[in-house]
Amino acid sequence: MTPSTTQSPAPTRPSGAAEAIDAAPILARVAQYWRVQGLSDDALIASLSDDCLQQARRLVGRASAEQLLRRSLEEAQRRFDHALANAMGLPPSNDPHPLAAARAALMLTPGFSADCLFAHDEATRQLKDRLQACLPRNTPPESPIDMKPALLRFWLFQSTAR
Amino acid sequence: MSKKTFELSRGRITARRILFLLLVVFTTFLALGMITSAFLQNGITPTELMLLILYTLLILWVSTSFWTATLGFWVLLRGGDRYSIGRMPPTRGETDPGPPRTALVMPIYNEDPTRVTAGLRAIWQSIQETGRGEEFDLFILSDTRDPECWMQEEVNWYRMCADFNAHGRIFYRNRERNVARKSGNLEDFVHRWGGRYRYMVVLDADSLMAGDTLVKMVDRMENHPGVALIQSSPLPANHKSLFSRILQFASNFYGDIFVWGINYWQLSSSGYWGHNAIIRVEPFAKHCGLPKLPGREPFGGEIFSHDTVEAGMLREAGWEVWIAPDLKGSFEELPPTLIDYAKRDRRWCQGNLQHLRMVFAKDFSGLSRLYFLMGIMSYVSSPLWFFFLILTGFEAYVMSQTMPVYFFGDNLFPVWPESFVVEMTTVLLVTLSMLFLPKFWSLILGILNWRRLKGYGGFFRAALSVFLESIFSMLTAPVLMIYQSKFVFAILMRRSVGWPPQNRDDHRLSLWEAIQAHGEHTLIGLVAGWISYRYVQGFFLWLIPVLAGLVLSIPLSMLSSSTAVGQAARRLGLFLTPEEYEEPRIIQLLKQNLEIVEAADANPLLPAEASKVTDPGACALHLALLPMRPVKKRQRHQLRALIYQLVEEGPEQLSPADRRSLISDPESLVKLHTLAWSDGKDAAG
Repeated sequence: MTPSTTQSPAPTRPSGAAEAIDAAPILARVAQYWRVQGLSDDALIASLSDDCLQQARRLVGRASAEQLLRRSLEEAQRRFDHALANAMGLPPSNDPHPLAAARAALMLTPGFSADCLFAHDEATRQLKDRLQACLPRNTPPESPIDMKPALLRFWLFQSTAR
Repeated sequence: MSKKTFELSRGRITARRILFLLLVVFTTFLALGMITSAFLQNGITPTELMLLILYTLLILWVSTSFWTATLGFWVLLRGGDRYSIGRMPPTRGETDPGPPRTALVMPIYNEDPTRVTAGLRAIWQSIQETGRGEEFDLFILSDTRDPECWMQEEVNWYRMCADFNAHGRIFYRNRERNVARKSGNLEDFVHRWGGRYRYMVVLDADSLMAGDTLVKMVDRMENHPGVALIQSSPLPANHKSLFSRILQFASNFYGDIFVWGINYWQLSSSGYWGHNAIIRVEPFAKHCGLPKLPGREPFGGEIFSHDTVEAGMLREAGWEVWIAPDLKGSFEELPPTLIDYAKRDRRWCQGNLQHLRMVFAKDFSGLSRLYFLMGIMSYVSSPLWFFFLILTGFEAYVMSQTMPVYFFGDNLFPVWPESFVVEMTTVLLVTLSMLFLPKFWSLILGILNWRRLKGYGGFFRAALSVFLESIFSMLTAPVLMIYQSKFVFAILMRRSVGWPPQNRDDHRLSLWEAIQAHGEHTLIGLVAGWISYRYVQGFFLWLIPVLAGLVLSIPLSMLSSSTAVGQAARRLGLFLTPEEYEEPRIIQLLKQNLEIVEAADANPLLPAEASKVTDPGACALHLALLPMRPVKKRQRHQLRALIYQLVEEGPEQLSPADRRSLISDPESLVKLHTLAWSDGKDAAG
């Protein structure tokens, strides 16, 4: 997701516990994460999950299963965002909003599959136009009107301030 | 068929108001004359004087309501009112040359996102079916503080845009700070986007309006450039519990005569009920900016019940404000239980009592002052009735202790005490008649309109429903009287209630909940019953209906909260309404959409109990909608500390405000999301 997510925020356990980490639950969890992000191709999911775990191992070395999983998930987020930014033609930026908007459109609009993000074919190129039309537009351009508080004058009571 | 149209003259307005006023004052004096003649016999005691003052205020209030209903009955007997906004001829005036664009605005605050979305989807679909959907945009103006509810609202909004291909037509915004509650929320809308729209239709979270109705409202505003606001008359609909079905029936069956009666004497100076109304944006922005009242809550501070004040401001600025009794297809929902009803009353009571100050505002006319007083009286009447009952009991006790003296002075023959049973019984009958006759008027109208009565289950079922509703309202009235009396005193003691969200979901009350809420009512009923039975047996008999309501409040409240009993009554054809008999399209759409929204929430890839932070789609959308705010170093450390606290102690240890702070920051949101997945369970709560 955003570059800042690579900094782990949570307290970590001593790394000595990492010697015999079972990779299967981590891979399963990362695969589940890919599916929730909209991927459906099992072979692609397995390959991406494995890549994420390898990359996480390279980054944290001897770490706990929890740390390894977190790094793997962050790697999954990074790869997904990278693929999406490529598909949408988004330049690298510190502003997370455009990419988040595209991600939301991809995941929440019925009928989209995220598989094509990694296919690099015609479907990937078409995705951009289809997603552009579905990007969240939560407010229209502003057209302000002045609305000043009215002055109320009272008998027996203090009047309101302008 | 050409329809004859009539111009509304100043004289007509004055004549109608004078007639109404005379009827109310005459009735009050008549009842007062009878009770005074009974009291005057042996000179008036201080207790009797107090009783007279209380009775005057109460009978004035009762006769206002009675004559409003009776005039409405008269109007409906004659086939409607030619001086209503639906029948008035189009007026000439300066009109905006541009196409009329209308914003449907729904301010929400921690409401059930499923119901809100289903209602909005139904309204949107209904508008599209009119073929004039292009004239409308929809704004969800959220003041929601609850983090989970906030994210769910966003997801529901986005799905609605996607499903109806309405990107750029349906909008959502969540205010960072909910300044001035609902009125501030609307003010923010007008301030930011008001220039785009000629009209706005204000909706409540439970509002439901048919597309046809909305289109008609716009057309009426277009035809009458001097009108700033048209209030539709929303009917309760879609209820299941016995309590809300009884109220739904009562509003539906008796409502018409009251609304037509209001239109009869208020005409172009009517009121605003805060929702299901169309407003001309430009005068609203110009005149309805609400100031903060000097002093602290509950009488000072932000204006709670803003609608009455806003309508007053528009009228004082020379704009017309109408009610539209003929407009159907406007619905709202009621609290499902007696306790929820009382809770809503608590808020409304505070809002209305705050208007006490408005009565002294120099800028309002006598009519506006009268409206403020009527709003105040709708709550103050409860403690007045309460005192009236206590004083009547006390007076009865004093009378029972007084020995009649048959011989005094030089009189040779005994002087028999004069009996005023006839006068007092007449007073009682007059009062009861004024309370119950409007129900009878509605039944007569039903008999005269057989097709309408069919929607209520036919004559016998409708008559039985009226009878049972009368018993129910008689039993619940003392409970509400005590509740409202407590509210009035609490507010007079300057205890503010705040503005908690309203509970709209059906739920059967448990025995413990009912005891907590009504224990004191039962106790008051038993004690008052014992005292009156022990000391003034004659008064006890008169007091039985009041005592019965109090003593039975626990079982009555529990029974009436039941949806099973409510549905059984429906199967028997009791408390049936035309909307239940033949469901309007808009309610069908609501039901369909409730199913759609609930099904869309169930993501098979995520655990059912998973929070929205776990859902990557919801998280991405939330992030996309968050404003860019630079975070200071100190704030960043605070946010990190909150995440550590969450990891170590669990999300339930964080306050909703803390959780809101976390999901309001993009960096913290992403961390929470990752933690939720790496933890293997739902980290964000």
